[in-house]
Amino acid sequence: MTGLYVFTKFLTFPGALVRALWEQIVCRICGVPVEDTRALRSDELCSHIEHELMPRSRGAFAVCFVPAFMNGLLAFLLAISPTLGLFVFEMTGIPGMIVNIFAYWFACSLFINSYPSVEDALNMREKVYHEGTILQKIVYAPGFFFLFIGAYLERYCITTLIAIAGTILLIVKF
Amino acid sequence: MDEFEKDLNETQSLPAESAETPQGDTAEASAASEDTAQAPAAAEAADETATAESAEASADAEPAAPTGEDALVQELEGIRDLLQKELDNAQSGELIQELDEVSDTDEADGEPEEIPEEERCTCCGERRRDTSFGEDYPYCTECRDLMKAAPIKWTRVLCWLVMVGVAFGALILTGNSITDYATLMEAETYYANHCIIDAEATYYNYVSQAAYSESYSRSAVKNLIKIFSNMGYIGDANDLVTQYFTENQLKLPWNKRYAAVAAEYQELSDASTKVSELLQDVMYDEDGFDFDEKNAALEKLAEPAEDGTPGLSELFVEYYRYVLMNLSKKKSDAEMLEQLQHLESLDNGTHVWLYLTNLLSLVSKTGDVELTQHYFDKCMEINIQEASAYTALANAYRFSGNVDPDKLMEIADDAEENMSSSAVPTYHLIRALAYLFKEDAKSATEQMEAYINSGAATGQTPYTVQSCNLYALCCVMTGDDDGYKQMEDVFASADLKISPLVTKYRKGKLTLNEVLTDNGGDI
Repeated sequence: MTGLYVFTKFLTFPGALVRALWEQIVCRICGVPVEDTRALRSDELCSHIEHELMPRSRGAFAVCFVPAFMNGLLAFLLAISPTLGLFVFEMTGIPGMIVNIFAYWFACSLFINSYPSVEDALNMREKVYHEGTILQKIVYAPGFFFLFIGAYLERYCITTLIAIAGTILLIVKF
Repeated sequence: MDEFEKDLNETQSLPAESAETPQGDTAEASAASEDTAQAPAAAEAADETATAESAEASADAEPAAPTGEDALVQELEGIRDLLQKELDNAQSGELIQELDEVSDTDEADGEPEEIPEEERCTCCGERRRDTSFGEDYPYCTECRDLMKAAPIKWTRVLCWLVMVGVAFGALILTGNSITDYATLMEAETYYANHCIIDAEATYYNYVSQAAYSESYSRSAVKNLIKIFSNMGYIGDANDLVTQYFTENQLKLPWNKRYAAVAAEYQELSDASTKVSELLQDVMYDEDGFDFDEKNAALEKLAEPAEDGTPGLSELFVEYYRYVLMNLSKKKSDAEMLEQLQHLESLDNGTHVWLYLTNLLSLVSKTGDVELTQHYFDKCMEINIQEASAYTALANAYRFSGNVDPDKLMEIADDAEENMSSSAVPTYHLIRALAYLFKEDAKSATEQMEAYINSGAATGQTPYTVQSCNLYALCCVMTGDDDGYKQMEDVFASADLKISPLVTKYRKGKLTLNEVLTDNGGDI
């Protein structure tokens, strides 16, 4: 499974690099030491940076949420054009088609690499739902479930399958 | 600090006392010396002489050297200045720093502390681990600080910037498509809500314009083909298939439906040609023709030709049999209804357009509200904008013998809500009928005027035999002779006359209820 996981990460390296960037930025803001800044490696931390666990609930949530949100937002922006240009409409211009193909690859790579690592997700659960206040539990609830489930989906390459299924659906529908 | 300043002040006051104390001590010592050592005076004198000589010699070497009290005062002032300086340093914090530096220097100068291997930082391997973060914390403070400030790789920032650039570049490239997409979404919403007339119009406008643009939506073309097929516009559907699909594309399994459209068009076109040839001599015969003779000829068309070409399919044969029955004017509505129901039983739902609206119209004439409602619902599942369906349902209630004007109003309201704004507003006719059943001729006339005036808005002529007869009936009821004359002129322009039902009502030979419940089709 790790081999397949690493393979998909290398295949979608732009998204992995960008997610590592956001993770590191959050770590720096929270003052958490980053032990290994490499994003592309051959273990289950591939596409993540190795950092100490966040000591507070806000940081624990942020290190999961911020990369997911930023990658998701950019993936959405990137996906609009190729969805229209490649699937809904048949563009006849070659430059437009090339740009759209790259945009779709970037969008898929960002989506596949948007969720946190399982370790960060577990730490988030520990900090938010075992140590956090009632208010924090309520405020973080929607994002928490999304991120927690997403972490496991990504760990077992389900996000990659979702991206492939989405592409097939677009082809069939349009 | 206050105590420290107090001590300092005490120290600063020291020189005055000190100046007295040593001086007194010296005098006392001199006196004792004089009292106890009178004998060796010579020797002392010799010593004093020697001392004086040496003092003179020193005076030659250092001419400004203070002596006695002055030297003591200067020394004490020096001590005061030093203490004042240290106080200033202490207040600005430099003293502590200096002390730290001194401490480090002392340690560096001294023997280095031996750190056990298991207590060393796993990062640098030199310094002691910082156990303030936990007993097993692996890093020293310095390494931890460096990790906190780990530099962000510029390649990742560049990667992110490239992605943002591609996103906006792609959006600019497909910017025009977004408005097209909004149009398609509108059409799809119509299609999903069974508003087929509006969906067809929206898709058709888009496809007509997209034919001249750099990009077009294949899904829009496909949906328009489906709509044309469902509505029975097989020729238009075939035109689109021919324009947008190559022969090789039509061979692909997922394009089977569109290939079938082309095949169906070919079959229907052939059948239409053959039936037209069959009816060529009797098509415009007002008295009709011999149904059995033409029917026998139609049966032959179902047989395969000598060259092996297959004959007409059973579905088309039955459909054209209905057409013959209708044109021959020799068959009753009941027979035609039976024929259409037979046609319905043969169809698997793909050719509803062949029979449904005609079936609905014939069923409504029987006044069977339940059966009409059944076919009406079937029609609504396909197209809620089918105007003839609302009219048929209203007629079914009208011919049932138990008319409820409120029910007619309800049907008219539904029709107005669902029908396309571009369609002829036939719901005015239904409302006019409802008002006539209520014997409210004025309101009925208003509805008819609204119906006739709608022609300017929709661009379609609202004049039909039924609507003109209904308007003429309203004019009779309200005593509007000019309006009645106008309708007579309209009929005359088409070489027709106002229905005998209306003229008889005008002459008082028929009651209003008899006119309105007649299912002859004039009104």
